[in-house]
Amino acid sequence: MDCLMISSRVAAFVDGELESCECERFVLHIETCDPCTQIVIQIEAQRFSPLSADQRRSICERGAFWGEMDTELNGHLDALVVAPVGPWHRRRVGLPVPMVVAYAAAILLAVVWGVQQQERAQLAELASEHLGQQLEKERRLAAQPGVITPPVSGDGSYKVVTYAPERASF
Amino acid sequence: MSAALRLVNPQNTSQWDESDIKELAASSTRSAMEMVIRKYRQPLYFHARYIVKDHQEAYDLVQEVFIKAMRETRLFEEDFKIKAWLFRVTSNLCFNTVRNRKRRGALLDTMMRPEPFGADQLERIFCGEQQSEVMASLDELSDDHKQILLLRYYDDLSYAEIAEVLQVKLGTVMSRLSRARMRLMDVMQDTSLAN
Ligand SMILES: [Zn+2]
Repeated sequence: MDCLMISSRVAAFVDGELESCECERFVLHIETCDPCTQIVIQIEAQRFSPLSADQRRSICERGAFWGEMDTELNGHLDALVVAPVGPWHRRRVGLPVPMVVAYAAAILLAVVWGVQQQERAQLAELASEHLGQQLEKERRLAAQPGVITPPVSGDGSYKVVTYAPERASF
Repeated sequence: MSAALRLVNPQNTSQWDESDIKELAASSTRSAMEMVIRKYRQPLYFHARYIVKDHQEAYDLVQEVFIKAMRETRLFEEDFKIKAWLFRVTSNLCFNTVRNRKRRGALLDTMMRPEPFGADQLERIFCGEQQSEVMASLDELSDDHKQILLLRYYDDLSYAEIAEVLQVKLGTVMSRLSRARMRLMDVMQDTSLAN
């Protein structure tokens, strides 16, 4: 324990509030440190003199000392409406009607919005699945070796067609 | 019906702890609230009076604290610290009052106000304590230091209770209290040198 620690524990030491191990370290320090010993001596010399319990009672139990307060607080106690304290599910909660309506509307909107979002998500999922299937089908077709279907009519030979646009047809 | 608080026996308050009061609240909130008032009004009054140094102001502030307590919906909840909450609210109200009073420059006016129950022996003891060297030096400290010294050495709260009032750790209570006492020592030394 160092001097700084002594200065932050001196009140607890004087009041007997330090735990035994901390108290031992405190004593070990002040035995070897004069400035800290002086602080402890001066703090121990401080005398607080609060009124004793008897003096306090004598002041407060005279005549109608509390009469004025009793009268005032009785009025407030009479008007006091406090929900009985019980299990949480049995407690009544007094909320203003507009607040309840606003909360209900907010919850309803949130639910409707949530349902809409869910439907949209399902549609998007279906569309992406369909697109995926299409792509897969096309990929497979592209991967197969080229098979050229012969023309249905004619002599079985391919006909070369050349295209020459007529002049000035554009 | 008499103006005195009804339903509960005033003699019982010291035997009732917070768990008893909370149990009572389950059947009668009013009775529990009356018990809270009876149990804590005296310590709160002296705590307030040490800060504001005026009977009527301290009295009115304590009354205000109980009205606030009636509106506090968590008051009788299982883990709610009633005593700590009451001392915290009282402290805050009192220090605000003193700050406002200082702003208005009305401190002297209040200190000159006569005591309401006559300057009998006990009032003189109280006033004597108010004017003691330590009490005068306490006024020179910051609100934090004054508050913690009052809670410990005038209101007789334990370190654990102070930690609950200030909502800090036990180690913080120890260090703040030590710093407050060292500061008080400096102020008292300065005062004695000046005299
Ligand atoms: Zn040291």
